[in-house]
Amino acid sequence: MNCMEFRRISLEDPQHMGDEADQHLEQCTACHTYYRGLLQQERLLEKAFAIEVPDDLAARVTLRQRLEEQGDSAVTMLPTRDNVVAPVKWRKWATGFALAASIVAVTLGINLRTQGNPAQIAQMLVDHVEHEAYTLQLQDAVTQGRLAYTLNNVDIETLAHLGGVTFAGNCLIEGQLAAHLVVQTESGPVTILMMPNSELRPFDYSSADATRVQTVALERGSLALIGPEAVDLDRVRERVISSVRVLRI
Amino acid sequence: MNDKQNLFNSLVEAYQKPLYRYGYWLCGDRTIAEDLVQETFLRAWRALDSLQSMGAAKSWLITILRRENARRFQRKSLDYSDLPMESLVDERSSEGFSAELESLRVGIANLEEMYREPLLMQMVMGFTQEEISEQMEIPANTVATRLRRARLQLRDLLMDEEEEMGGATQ
Repeated sequence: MNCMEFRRISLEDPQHMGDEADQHLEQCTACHTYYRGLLQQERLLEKAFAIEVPDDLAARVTLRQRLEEQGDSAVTMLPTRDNVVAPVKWRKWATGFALAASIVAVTLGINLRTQGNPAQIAQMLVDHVEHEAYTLQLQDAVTQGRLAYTLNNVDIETLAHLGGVTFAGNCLIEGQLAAHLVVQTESGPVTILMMPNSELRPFDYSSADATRVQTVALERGSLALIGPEAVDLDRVRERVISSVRVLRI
Repeated sequence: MNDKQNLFNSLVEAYQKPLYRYGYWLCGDRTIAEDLVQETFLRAWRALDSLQSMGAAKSWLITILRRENARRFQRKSLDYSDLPMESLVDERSSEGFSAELESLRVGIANLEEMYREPLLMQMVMGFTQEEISEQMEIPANTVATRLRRARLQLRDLLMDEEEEMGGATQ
């Protein structure tokens, strides 16, 4: 591969260029510099695209769906673009409902997570991993775009390349949205659950079947790592923590 | 809560943010973006039984949102040049504002739709080039070309900014 081909491929998807391009990158200083600049641009682009999302959007969507389900005439009064002058009374009520729904969700979420001892919480996390066991079998690395997208959904920003991620998806853990990642290590796959909306008590627990579960506090919410005891979870944890930032938006 | 409602709630939780951001960068208006998301999910709810698997949900939702956006233009007989570009982003009051980011946002907004949308699909929705090709119904090599051009245009913009900043400090 020559420099021109490398630059063409890197501009198409800088995070997923293929082996040939990676080899070229290692050998060519000029392209290395070029690529570093491109990655900087990508990080800036990720930030630029991530505009703030209204806090109560999900509540509004669900409310509208439920009203339609009930055949409520209030559906016609929802604040759509064509109907922006919806009655103030409705808006107040909808906002109140949305806020109440959020508060209930948050309260329930936190209660669920602070209850129970480490063994119970660890079992809940292991059950979740077992429920999605296929994710441990995947071998191909996900694209940085896929990873950024998954993390973005839970307001986490990628600060550096987090290598070896073979699965990235969003899931619900006890009703709270989380980012579910799997990284492959020499000693086996490690599941990483990033839960900015859940406060888990920090602990390090080994189960009878030689599975280790570690939870730590993030700037907001918690991080859980689940993997075989043979894996150096501390190292994985440090790598993850230094690669991401939980946004407070 | 029944299974259908659970599935719907999971979809809302998982996709409301990327869909809102996608919608916003399509139309350039927060209110319209919210309408697009609400309409998309409402249509998704009505047709939820036709969703084959969770794996197909993202493409399905984007298809609905893009159609909804197209309908908006049909309804109002607008053309794409009517996009309110100047009001696209005003995040000055938000956390982490930087002039560079602001310029980039204006740059994204000023990209031609044909370049902006594949980039959005890749960076906001996490689509592969093949998925973008299917979604936009254009050949994969056209997608690759558009992604390259989009990044090059934004790179030129950032370099111009840098030069201006350099000039200003001299």
